[in-house]
Amino acid sequence: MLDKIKRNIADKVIEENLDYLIRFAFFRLQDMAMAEDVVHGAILKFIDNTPSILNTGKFKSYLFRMVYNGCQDCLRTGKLRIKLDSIDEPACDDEAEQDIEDAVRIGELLGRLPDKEAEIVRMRTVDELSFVEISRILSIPATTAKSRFKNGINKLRKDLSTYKMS
Amino acid sequence: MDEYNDIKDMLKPRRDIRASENFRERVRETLDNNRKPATATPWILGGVSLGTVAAILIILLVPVGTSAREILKSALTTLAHTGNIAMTVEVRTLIRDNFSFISPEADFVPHDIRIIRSDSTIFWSVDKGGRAAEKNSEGVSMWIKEFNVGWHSDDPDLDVLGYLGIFTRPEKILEAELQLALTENGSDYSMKKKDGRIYLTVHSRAEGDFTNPYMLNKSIAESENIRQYVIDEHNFRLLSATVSIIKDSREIEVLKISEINYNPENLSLIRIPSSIRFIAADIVSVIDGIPGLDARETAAAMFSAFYTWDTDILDKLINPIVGNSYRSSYEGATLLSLGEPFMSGNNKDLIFVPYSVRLKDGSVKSMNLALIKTGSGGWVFSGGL
Repeated sequence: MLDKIKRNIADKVIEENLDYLIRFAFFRLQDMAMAEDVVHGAILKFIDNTPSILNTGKFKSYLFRMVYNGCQDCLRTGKLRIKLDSIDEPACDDEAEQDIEDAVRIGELLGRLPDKEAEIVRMRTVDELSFVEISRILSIPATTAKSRFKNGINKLRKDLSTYKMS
Repeated sequence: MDEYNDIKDMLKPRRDIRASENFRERVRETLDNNRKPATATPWILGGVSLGTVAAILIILLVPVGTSAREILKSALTTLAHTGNIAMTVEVRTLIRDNFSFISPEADFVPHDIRIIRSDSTIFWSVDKGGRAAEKNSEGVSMWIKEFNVGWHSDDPDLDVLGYLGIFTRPEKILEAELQLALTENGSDYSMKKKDGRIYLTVHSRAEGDFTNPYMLNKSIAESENIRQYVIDEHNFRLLSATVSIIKDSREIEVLKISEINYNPENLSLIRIPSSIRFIAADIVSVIDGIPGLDARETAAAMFSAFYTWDTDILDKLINPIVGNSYRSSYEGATLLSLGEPFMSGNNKDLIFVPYSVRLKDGSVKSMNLALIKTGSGGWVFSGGL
């Protein structure tokens, strides 16, 4: 019985978070097709291995963690190394182009930070996740997430003021 | 925080990105294809006693008149407005063990459950004598009085009660059953109305892999079980509940609500003893095991470290405060043998390693060490000492 309940909850969590998951993956990978593949792969794994805890909050974090791991795998294995401008790609619409520009711009901005801090700042600001959710996804204490966020924001703030002054 | 807002604005995408309709459809198909076909439920013919079979057949043959879905929806609406609740739930368990642990051979242990509602916030406490837990405005705490040790988390969703957690919100019980009723072919429940009461019976099979039956019947979820609820037909309040498990073709009652009071006067949560030393649950979770060691090697490393109480190793495998509570028993212990690790039950991250150790007083102890997998693939202590 609990299996069925969990499956229903899992389905609900997937449906409710689909937009957020796509956004989460897209801003990491800067490629919508790849983002969709990563999210889809994560959903398949999630279905096969639904968490044993009947708790929607943890289901959500678990799902995001799988997408996060999928993105990291893509980035690590270099599946995204083909530059978009190096291939003869079909013309994409204005909105899609704007999304890619945003993803690149945000990626460059966060690229000024150490990876660990950039990740937390991205999750908190772009992905709009709470510190508790971030701590679950990254398996770190919420207090660590908060301090990395603060450090990251302070560095960006400093960079920003230098930029404004120059 | 204006500057932070500036930064936040810079990190904000111009457009709210959404999943495309094509992708949404692809996911829908995946979910549909991965739903296991619902099995017909031959449970009445399973290991249930003849008396139970007769009782259930009666339930099934009585015209219900109202669908489970309608009744449960009405109950949910009504219970959403329920105030404070005090109840006593009796469980066959051990007083210090986890809240999810059951033992069909053990006596009933009363659990004092108190639920306090303030606006939309719900606080609760559960006390079973040796172990207690509480959710209050500061988060969730659990403690073992005898050891003066406890765990605390700011996370209000932290699950420390297992199945018992459902009793901290009686409406959750019905919500869970409603989920079942709404599932296609969710036919393993039955219901009847009699004398102003609704009797709901639900049957579940044991969840998990029991190729090794070690964890079979160690929790309600890991048992074939029958849950029965009695609900007031007029105000839909839960009046009582029982859970029985089926073991060796026998039905054994393992949980019952012996008392439930709605809106009792002067109800407060139990007091957390000032002597308890709390560990932050976040700190527990950062213990990450020893990279590269499998479960058996981790068990060997842990028992070897017990001999000299080598904290360089132990601190990677077990929380120091928890570890220290075992120090007087295990320091100086010698590992005699380790068996083959095995898995059992519904937690895919948990593995058991059979062991025998000679304690410093000369006695030999043989049990199964429970290790749990960490996010980085290492193994850390979970129980079994």
